[in-house]
Amino acid sequence: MDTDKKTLSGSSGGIPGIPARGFLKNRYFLLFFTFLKISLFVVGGGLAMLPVIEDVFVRKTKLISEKDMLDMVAFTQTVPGIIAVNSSVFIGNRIGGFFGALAGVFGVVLPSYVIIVVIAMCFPHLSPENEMLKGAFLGVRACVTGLISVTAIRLIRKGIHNAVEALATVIFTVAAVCGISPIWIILSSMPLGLLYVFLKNSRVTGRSGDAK
Amino acid sequence: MTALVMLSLKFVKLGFFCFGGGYMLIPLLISEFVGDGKILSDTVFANLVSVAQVTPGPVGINTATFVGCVTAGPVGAAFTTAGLIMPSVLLGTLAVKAIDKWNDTAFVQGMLHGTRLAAIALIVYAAFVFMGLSLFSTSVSVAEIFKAAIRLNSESLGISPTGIIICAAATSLMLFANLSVTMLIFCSGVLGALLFPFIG
Repeated sequence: MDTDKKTLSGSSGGIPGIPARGFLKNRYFLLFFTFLKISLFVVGGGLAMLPVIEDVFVRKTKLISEKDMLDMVAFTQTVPGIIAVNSSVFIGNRIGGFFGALAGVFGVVLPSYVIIVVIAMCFPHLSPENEMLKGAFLGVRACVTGLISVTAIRLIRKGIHNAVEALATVIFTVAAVCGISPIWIILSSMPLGLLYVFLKNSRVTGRSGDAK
Repeated sequence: MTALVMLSLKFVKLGFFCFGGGYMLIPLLISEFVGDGKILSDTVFANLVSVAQVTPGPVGINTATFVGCVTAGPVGAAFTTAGLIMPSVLLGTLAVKAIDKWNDTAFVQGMLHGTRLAAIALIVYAAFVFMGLSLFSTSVSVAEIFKAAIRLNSESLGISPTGIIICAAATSLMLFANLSVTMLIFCSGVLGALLFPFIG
């Protein structure tokens, strides 16, 4: 990946109309360092990084438009994958094509990779003997439990609108608790979702003649 | 080498099915890597997700790196991490060009409607799994929680007061006061270290 960047940073990488700001005038380096910064310092992932992306790519360098930002949000929810990675793929592609996407993704992944490799080399089992350390891990786990529960509650409030959707969600949850693989749950949810949207649309148009 | 390629192919598979972002990976990872006879024990996995919350970077990347590193060192970690992000990079690059045309069609919207509900269900399930891993003195599976709940004998599971107190406090603080998650996690760790040796 390093060699990719070196060859690309030569002639094609410059950003026209942008005053030279050191090596950041090259768009591949800009992508790499912006997403490195996001990965290192933006805690909370997902939508928390939108302001940073907007600041760097919309306001400062004007490489993408406000509309692109909205498209990016839709994109990250359509394509499977981690939101930070998907965002860097989208922005990278818009700004520098496939290699732009690689530069952005490399920036997202590098901090996690280095930090976790160091942790895994030092503590491969992550299960301390010391009572206080055990307690610290238990405390953090309990807090993470709350975090995931709150995320689930927010998603339920926002994403479930009627009894049919609620029933489907309950059935999927029971299936997961019974040990059915998440992959099968997702695969079966796709045709069910298609069927649901098809039936809903045909009922609405049948009743009122209003194609909504 | 073959084992390493197989391992990273597993992560490629997870990458394809990760609809709805990082938390969605937790149930996928559990079904693939956590449990008896698999790579990670449930406590190690729970601690790993906890570490991933306090270190920078997405939880999915952190877990992929850790699993790869524990099984085959830093090179293995590079393989697994690359595997996890490969679907995003390839599908994403194709989708960037097609997204404007395809995103509003009834077909794509219908499928996404389904996966959105499945994602909610799987995150609810992930919350159950984590309750089993943090509210009891030994880690407990979701099935065991439900069995105990039906029979109403919670004593058999050995509830941890520290876990219950911290989880209740953190959940209500997140719901009703808009506090920074990092701060909450840090305070929970300190509180856990102080309470656990005394009240269990």
